Amino acid sequence: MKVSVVGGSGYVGGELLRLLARHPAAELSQVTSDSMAGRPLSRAHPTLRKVSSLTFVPHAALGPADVTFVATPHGEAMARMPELLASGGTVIDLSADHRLRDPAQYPRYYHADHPHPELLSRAVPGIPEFYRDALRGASLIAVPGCIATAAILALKPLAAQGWIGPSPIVVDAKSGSSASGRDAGPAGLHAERSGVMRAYAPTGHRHTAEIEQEVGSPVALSCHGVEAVRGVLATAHVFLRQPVTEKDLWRTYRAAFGSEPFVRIVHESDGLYREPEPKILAGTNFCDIGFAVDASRGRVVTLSALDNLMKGAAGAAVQCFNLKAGVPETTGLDFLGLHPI
Amino acid sequence: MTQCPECDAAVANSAMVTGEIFPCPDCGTELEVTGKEPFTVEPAPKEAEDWGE
Repeated sequence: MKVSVVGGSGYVGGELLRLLARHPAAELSQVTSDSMAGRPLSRAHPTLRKVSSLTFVPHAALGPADVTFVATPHGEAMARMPELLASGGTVIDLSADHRLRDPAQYPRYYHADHPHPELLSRAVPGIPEFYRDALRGASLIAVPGCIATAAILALKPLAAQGWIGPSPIVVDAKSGSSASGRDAGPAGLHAERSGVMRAYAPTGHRHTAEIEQEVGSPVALSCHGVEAVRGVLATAHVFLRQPVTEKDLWRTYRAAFGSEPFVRIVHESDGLYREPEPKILAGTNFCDIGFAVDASRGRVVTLSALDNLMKGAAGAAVQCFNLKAGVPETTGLDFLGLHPI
Repeated sequence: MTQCPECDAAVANSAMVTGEIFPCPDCGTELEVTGKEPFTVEPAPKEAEDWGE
């Protein structure tokens, strides 16, 4: 399939290109970036040296493709989406512009009205674990945010069981620096970022709305930046409607994800890596999910780890692409990670 | 075929002998074969950890 990447010079764009460059079902035709137009892809993404001879083209030069990946900053894709969809191909949007079904949420979380609210109900969430059949026929796919993906995968099976009580689910997330993108400004300077443990969004993080939309419960999300380049660890505190045992959780997660290629239940009684850790997931498309029961407080703690650029963005997008292309879902996504790293 | 007493994963291995210890494929708990007919397992005894508590 002929594929293009709009906004290919950022970290998510680079990860997409890394995955698509040797994908057997993808013929990479155009990669746009106004700021990098005319320069080789490897100028922005050194891992593509001697891999692709393409150069960036301006956004205005974009032609039709079977699948167009959009990795532009939030707010840019929403204006251009009708034009992108008019070409007849599938659009996989990795920005936040089509993640929320309720248009009223955009002014609240993104400080602007959505210019094309009629498209929001058309967008299928890029979560194959829950929307596999719909994704095969989708023309507009909205890949969730990295923290949202981690939290949703851990929480939605519990919500489906009716176990979550009326109290908000408290989600405490830690993320690496690449999650803030290539244009993070002074916050990304080494002098500012090195050694950091920073609460950058104690309340009001945008992914709150995405998690609530999928899980159907109020969510209290706090986000921290930590000393890592890649990785998200989302710890969720779920206050239960009824007592739940560890075996209940094993059965529930096994039923939800036992056949999934990229979601692993990690809750082991021995060894160093007993619960999920993002460190060993760098470059992989896995989301590892663990849990613990706090019976005395009527609480379940879930732990979900992923690489924010992979299962939290580009990897999930390519997984969706594989569904559209009719190839095995793991195509181009079979890297198992590094250890030690 | 039986189930892991910790996580309910299906575990089976006809080649094992009574007393043999193996890890549960899901939760990693070390299980000891306590019977063959029927196949039964229990968590294997392990040394207690003391991390200075």
